[in-house]
Amino acid sequence: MERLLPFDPPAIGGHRLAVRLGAGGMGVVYLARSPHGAWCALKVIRAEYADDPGFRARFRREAELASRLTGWWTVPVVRADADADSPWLATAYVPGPSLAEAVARPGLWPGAQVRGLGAALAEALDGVHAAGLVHRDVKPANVLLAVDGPRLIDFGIARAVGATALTADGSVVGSPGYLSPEQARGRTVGPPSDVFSLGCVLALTVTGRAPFGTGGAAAVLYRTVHEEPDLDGVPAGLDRIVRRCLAKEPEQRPGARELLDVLGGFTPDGWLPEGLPARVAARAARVLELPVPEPTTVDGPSSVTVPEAPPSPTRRRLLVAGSALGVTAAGGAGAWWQWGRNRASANTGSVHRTRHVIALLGSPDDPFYAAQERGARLAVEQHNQDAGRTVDLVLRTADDRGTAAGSADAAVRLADDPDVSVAIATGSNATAPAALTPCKKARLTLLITRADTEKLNGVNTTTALLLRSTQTLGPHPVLRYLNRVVEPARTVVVHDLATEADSLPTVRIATIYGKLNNETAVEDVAADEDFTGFARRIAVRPRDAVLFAGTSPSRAAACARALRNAGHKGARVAGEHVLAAPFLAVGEGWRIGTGYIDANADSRTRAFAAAFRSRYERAPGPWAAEAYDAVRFAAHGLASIGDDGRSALRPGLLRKPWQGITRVMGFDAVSQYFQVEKDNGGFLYRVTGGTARFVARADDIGKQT
Amino acid sequence: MAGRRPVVGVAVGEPKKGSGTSTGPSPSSSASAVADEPYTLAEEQAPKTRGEAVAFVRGLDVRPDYFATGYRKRNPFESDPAQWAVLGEDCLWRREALPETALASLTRAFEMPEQGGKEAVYVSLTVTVHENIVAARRDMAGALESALRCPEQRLNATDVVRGLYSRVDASTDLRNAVTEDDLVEAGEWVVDGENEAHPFDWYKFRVGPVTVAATARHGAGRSKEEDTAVSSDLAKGVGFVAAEIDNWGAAGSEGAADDSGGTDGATDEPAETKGAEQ
Repeated sequence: MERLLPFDPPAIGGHRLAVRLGAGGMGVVYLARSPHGAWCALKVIRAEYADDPGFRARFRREAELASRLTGWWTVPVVRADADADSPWLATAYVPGPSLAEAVARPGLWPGAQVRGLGAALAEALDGVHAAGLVHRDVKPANVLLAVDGPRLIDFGIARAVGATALTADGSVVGSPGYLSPEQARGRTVGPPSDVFSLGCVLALTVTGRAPFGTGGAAAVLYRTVHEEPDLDGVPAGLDRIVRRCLAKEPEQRPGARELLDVLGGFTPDGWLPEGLPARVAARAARVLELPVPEPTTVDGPSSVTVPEAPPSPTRRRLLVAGSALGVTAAGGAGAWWQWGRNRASANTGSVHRTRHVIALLGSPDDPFYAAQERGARLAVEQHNQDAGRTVDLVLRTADDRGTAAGSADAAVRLADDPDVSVAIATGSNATAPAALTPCKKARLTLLITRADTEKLNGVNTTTALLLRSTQTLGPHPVLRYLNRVVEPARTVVVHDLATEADSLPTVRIATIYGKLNNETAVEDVAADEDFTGFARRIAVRPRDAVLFAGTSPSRAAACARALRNAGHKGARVAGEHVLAAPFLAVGEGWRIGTGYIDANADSRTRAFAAAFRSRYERAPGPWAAEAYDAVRFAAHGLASIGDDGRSALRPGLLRKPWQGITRVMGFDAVSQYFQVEKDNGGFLYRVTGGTARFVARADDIGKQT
Repeated sequence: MAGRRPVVGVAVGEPKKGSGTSTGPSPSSSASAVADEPYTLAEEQAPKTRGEAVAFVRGLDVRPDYFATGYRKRNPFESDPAQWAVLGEDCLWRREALPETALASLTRAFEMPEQGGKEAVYVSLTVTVHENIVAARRDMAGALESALRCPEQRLNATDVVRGLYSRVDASTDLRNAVTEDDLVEAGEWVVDGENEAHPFDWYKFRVGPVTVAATARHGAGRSKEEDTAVSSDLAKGVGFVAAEIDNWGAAGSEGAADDSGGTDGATDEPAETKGAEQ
């Protein structure tokens, strides 16, 4: 780390620069603080390179490709601006030394640690390759050592397989000593080239020597192509593996996935050889000593977010559960991530179709399960009847016994089955979260249709995708209803302490986060208290609206009864969790915000409802259309990964919004929250005659008469 | 830790102001998740007199559940708004009359009662109105300086805070700059005669000429993750108060109706919360 130099700008694209991390021919890398206060590594390219229009295109592509990677051992690109005078790119900052600094002496890295290192890097490459990319510059300087494992960085010259248009193929890019023979010869390279480079890195880590020697680039390249590697001192078991990676013929090398299996897994405990953890920690600690850069006003034209979220600096936005809230997920420029193989054969009706198993997790005893299973089955059947399909789908069900333990067990079984390509959790807040960990461990994408607990907010550290917003946003359709239709002078938010934890997010969204336009007041009602005292107080202002923030149907019923008895005249609203018999019996006139549509009552779901009725001789119940959408969303992603394996599914699903019949499946680029800008899967119902009747999609609230 | 993927929980918790959500007044206007403007309070909207300032700090509704479910008000709940805590040359915190530059300072005390083998967490939250932004900035600077001057600070007759360090933690990526200035310190506190020390957090934000500070003294019995959750929930709560102050300014100071000018009222704060407010 070096101090900033006098000619370094104070900030770039709103990122306050702290120190220089390094400088090279292409430009400078700074440690910077993002506008959000996060540390990041910001790489600025010298303006003279940017003069070449081809360069900007390549840079933009680099940023876009690197932002696709979501693996644990790769470093996400956070922001980039290809159009700045000096184009720049920011990635999350990894405050560790590079492997190049940590291989100074042979014998420092024992075999077990090298295997762990290799496994993590193989896993990183597997993710890179699954995304259709080749890193092309795997070398010790591009491997950073963090406390919890290594990180593969700098996709500076990564590009999609076969995307040769942006550079003249035939030129050698990369670092001699770690280049594959095919790279050294300037030939087109694929994933095996990275495996070769990884083999070189592992050999160097063990022996402290580059396996093809040092010296002039030409000599090193010659040895790479023509001579056997120098692996003296590599332990026998590892020698065999490294030797396979260093095979001259690309097809004789193991794939990254196979390499990962052969090396065994990675365990973060004790992954660093003796002496290194202290160094890694010391490096990380140096960040703590840095002065926080002076807050500067955000300069100049705003940068381009990767991918495609146009920043329009207005007021500070609610980042709660959503960055999703703020981001328009729809975006123009980025090409959808369709790759390769089966695209060409898409409409040929050709014989080979990959078969994907979609597993539906739920309990037949769950009142909302049967409708979801039927909806999912219908989606699979319709898909398999489409002559233009590129993959075949199979629906499998897994009983979660309606419990968290059962959900975890079922998820483990599904995760262990390599035939399962994706799982869909249909259960409640009590069951669905338990499936997260097993699915994550096995890189199995888990789509969640119904659960909405705040425990699911951290989806970007899992393999799950939530197809709705969580309780963090409260019952947002009724908030919109209050704002657009009722416009009460005041809304009283009833904080039911009987379900305090579930009630609190709704209280916060309505008050602290200011999502209700008019005045709010909070009434805490203790768990052992009924609602008569509250109702008496509100009777003084009977036109005030009431937002019941709790989730218990019987408590909501008690609240409804008390309000009725007190002669309350204003609007009364709540979220979907109160919808059960006790409340429905007394909740006449209440408006309820839900995450499920009534497919029978909406024009865009009418065709689905008709197909459902003709298939099952009954109308689709709650969540049927959502499960249908979940399967179709999964199928859409599976069609795009070809034979790349299930771990490639989730990054693809995240890339671009997909339009379903119930909602747009779109996700924030960073937080991966379900987007709630438009067509957000929120619906308004009205309780009448003991049932909840569909009123409108969230977008339409207040639009119709 | 370092370099891990950002913890969403932190980002989720940070209150952000503004509308532009599905429920906001102009849903189409929001194109960005970027937090562009920190919470603030313009000097001209801030309370000007001691009376206004006292009414302002008393009028803020700081709910116990700002800091997580389960928190309760302590008794006595509020301090004397004409005093604040000062760290002496001897590194001992004392209550003293406010200087000229501060108009009012109110400390509220909360606790998460002991439950299920987890000892209580004590939170104290102090809102101080300074006469202007310069004075508030000086206060922020002084707070940082005092931690350097006294790595070990005596809160009262029995409690000591030690190992205080200023923290800019890479692992809290995505921690948003909620206000114009913020200061995060952490250390441990220990009761005389006891061996075991427990985490101590100290957050201080500046919103225009107002500073909001909070401390948490964690009790024993929590895992590292649970202690981390207590800390990040505390930060969240401080952000909520900042949001309220910003809101108050935006609404045009109509809330400051009750102009008592009082330096009366509140009883002495409990000894344990001394020093917590700076």
